[in-house]
Amino acid sequence: MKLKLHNPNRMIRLGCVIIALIVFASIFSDRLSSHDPFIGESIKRLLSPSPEHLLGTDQQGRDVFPRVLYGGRWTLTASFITMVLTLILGMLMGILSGYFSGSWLDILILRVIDCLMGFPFMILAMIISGLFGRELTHLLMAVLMVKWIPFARLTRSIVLRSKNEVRVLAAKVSGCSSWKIIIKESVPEIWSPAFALATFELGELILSISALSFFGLGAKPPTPEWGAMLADSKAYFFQTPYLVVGPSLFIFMTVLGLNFIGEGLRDRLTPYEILKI
Amino acid sequence: MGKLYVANDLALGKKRRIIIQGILNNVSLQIITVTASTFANLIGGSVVIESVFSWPGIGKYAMDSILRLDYPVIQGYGLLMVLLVILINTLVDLVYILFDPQIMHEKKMRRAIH
Repeated sequence: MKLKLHNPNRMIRLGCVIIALIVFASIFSDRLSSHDPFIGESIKRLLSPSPEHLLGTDQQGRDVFPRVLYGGRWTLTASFITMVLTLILGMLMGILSGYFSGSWLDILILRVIDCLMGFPFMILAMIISGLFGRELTHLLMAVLMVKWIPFARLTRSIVLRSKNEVRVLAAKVSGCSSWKIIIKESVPEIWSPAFALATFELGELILSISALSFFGLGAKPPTPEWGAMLADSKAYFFQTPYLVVGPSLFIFMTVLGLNFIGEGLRDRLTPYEILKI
Repeated sequence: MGKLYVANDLALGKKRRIIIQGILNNVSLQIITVTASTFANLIGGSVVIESVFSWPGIGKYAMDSILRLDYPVIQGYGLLMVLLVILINTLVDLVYILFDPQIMHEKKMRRAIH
């Protein structure tokens, strides 16, 4: 049975729609719900979902639906900013390593990649958050330390492959400076696969950030972050299981949308691997 | 599944088992690579899962020590996990030689050149 969804264009479109909806909901969270995400009324604790409180109320009487919508802001901005910076750093390292391959710079970068390649990000993020405090800059530091490596490896392999192409050799022969060659010839080729990889990494990063908040090492308490909301609902899981639904649904949909975009992009970028028999 | 050798086998009408064996031949090296890199993710994940289910393992110990700022344990755990990951990657490198004899020849050649 061939799912119609495996058409890459449709996947990209569906993924973009999902992400756009979630971003829209996060930005306009105050218009979409009339309740306050921060102030809770004790009399309304742990209510079940109703037309007034879609998704119910949590243990402090706050309505879960506006909290979930508002909580997207912290997660999405943090992960997006860190991913953009990581992408730039990884691409830079990959380009340097690939273009000047064989030189001391390339060897140095390769050794650094070998050292850091297998380092588990969660552990590093938890250690840094635990030691230095729960600031966004510390999270950014942890992400930048480890997450640039897949981008660097991908970029390096693409640059190495394209270095022997006619247009790059022609540019060299005609006396172009190295940076101009890199910017004009290599970067357009690198951009699409790196972006496809970035969507997958972004999904993983959102999951990791939620896991960090789950353990209290991410966003600070009044901030309604999805992982923190899951941690709160864990205590009341057997009384009010529906509390888990809100944040998990949003985490799931965000990562799903990003994965759809990434898969669609990847399918479009490697067309010869789709063989229709 | 889009590669030429698969289409060739299918067109020749070979049995399913042989098609799958051909695929495994070509894919096995990549599977091993992915296994090595998945290992690091699993170690990070084990911390989370052991904490959630309160299983008394090293992951939970590390998580508790991070929350309590028990520095020697944090240092020791970090060191141990990195050593473990390096060990697994080395083992995977050795297993490569089993799967792809060409690599050992390449390594010998490179050593001879240097």
